[in-house]
Amino acid sequence: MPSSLPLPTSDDDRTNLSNIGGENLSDQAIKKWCRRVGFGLVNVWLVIHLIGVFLPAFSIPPSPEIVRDLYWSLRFYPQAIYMDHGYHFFGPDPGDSTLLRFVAVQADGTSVRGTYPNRNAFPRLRYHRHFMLTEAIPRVASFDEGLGALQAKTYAARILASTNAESVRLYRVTHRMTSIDRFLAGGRLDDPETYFDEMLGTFAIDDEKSVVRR
Amino acid sequence: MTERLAKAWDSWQRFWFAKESPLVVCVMRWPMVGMILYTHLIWTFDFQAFFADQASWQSREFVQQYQAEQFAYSFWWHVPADWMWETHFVSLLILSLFWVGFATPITGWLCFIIVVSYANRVPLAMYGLDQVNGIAALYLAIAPCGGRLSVDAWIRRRLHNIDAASLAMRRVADWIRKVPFWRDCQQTHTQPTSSVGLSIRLFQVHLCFIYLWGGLGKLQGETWWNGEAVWLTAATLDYQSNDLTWLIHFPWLYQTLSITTWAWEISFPILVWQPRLRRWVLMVGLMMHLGIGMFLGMWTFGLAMIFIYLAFVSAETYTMAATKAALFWRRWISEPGLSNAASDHQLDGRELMIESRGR
Repeated sequence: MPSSLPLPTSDDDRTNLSNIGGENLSDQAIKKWCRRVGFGLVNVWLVIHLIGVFLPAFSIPPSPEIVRDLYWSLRFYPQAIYMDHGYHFFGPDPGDSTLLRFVAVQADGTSVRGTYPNRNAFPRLRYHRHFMLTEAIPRVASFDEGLGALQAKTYAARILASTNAESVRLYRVTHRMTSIDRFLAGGRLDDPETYFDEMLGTFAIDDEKSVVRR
Repeated sequence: MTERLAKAWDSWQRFWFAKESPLVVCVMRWPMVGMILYTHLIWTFDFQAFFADQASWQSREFVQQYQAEQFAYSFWWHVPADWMWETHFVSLLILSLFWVGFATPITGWLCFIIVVSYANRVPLAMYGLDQVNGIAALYLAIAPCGGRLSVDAWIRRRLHNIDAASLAMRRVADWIRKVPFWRDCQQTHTQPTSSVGLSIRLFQVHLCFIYLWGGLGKLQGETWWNGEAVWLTAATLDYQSNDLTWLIHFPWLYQTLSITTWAWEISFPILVWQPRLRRWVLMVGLMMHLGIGMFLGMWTFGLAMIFIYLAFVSAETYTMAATKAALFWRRWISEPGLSNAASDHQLDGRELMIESRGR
């Protein structure tokens, strides 16, 4: 028995040697090439991802126009993966809160008054979900007036459905923050004078069962 | 020049693609996906009120107009009204499976699609918690986070331990191994891999982005500069879950907290990479998020942020913590009569066995 493998002496031997572990050398080369291309693509994705995650926050005004333009061109990526965020938590300053007040009138004339959201909602996450909806009212209205009107109609439709009413009057309520001086002078966080109402409109269900603004 | 480029490329590779133990992402999967599951479970209470096409807080007409120029995808736009509850429960089931670590290469990506679809269906109800959930879902999906501490790992062990004498069981195991979907799950890595390293780095770097922009955003405001911001936040009744108005009597405290908040946020991306400072930097963040949870009622958001910190803990630390916990359990609870020396000896032996089996 030979102590070591004999050197290949014919073409057949060479062919056999190129077939290692049942895999042809050319297959291995293709696999290696695929791995390299795959790795290159991962690197390209990584660069796009980092830019995509960084840009949305950078593009929040005040920001250079060039950044805002770049963000607008590349926004498809962060938006598609839900990473289109600014992360400016409580910035630039903590602001006033926005709530919703409503007076709904049912078919028998009974009126239902309320404030939305309900602070006693449990678990607390439910309260935050609803609170985010009212907090979005000034943002949407300042972004697009028409969209703000549609938002008010949407909220009205929901209140009409949940109170079983025929019409509803909606008020946007701005709850002003209490300054240090005011609090030291004896003011409270829930003093009535810290709430400012602004009527959003009266909404009713028409004959075709759709919600219209009156 | 070429040498410098090669060095830079090498540094880039080492930073993003260093091979790391999957244990870190496997540990992170439990709290992070647990939070995602909880977040989506809570939708059940108000499901129709938010997700119905009409007479909901986020009607189809409004959301589609709001997202008119956005690339925001949601599978909810394709679900018929009669199938909405079923779709919700199937989504919860998939999230549960990912949470316990079943078929993670598939359930991980489905989890990501679910998180994005829910967020894009009710965009105005979203806040920081959902942003962190999105980050967790994507970065866990790209890593083999079911390699350990999972049903996948348990099944893999069971398949390997099928009794050789039991022919029927062996055939079942062979058949399961051949199912294409399951075969992929069985290939889940237990060894250190680059995809784990990439996932951990993305968590870490993304957290740096969040804090950097959080801090820079605050510097644009007046109240974070003059130190009143923490008081104003505490005095916002609609966020408050515990009374913090006593802060008014300690101006030095709320002013220090205001300045510390943005200073810490801006310095986080630099200081957290210093091994000696990391523990203290994370400790400050831990206290800040626990404070937000305790006083502003945002426990879910605070915890979700803290869970990202787990990416800064090494696999060795997790292994050591598990060993200590097992030691404590054995010495004081399961077999309190054992002497310390005997307990140590037996536990060490058992730990070594577990480690070698896992690898």
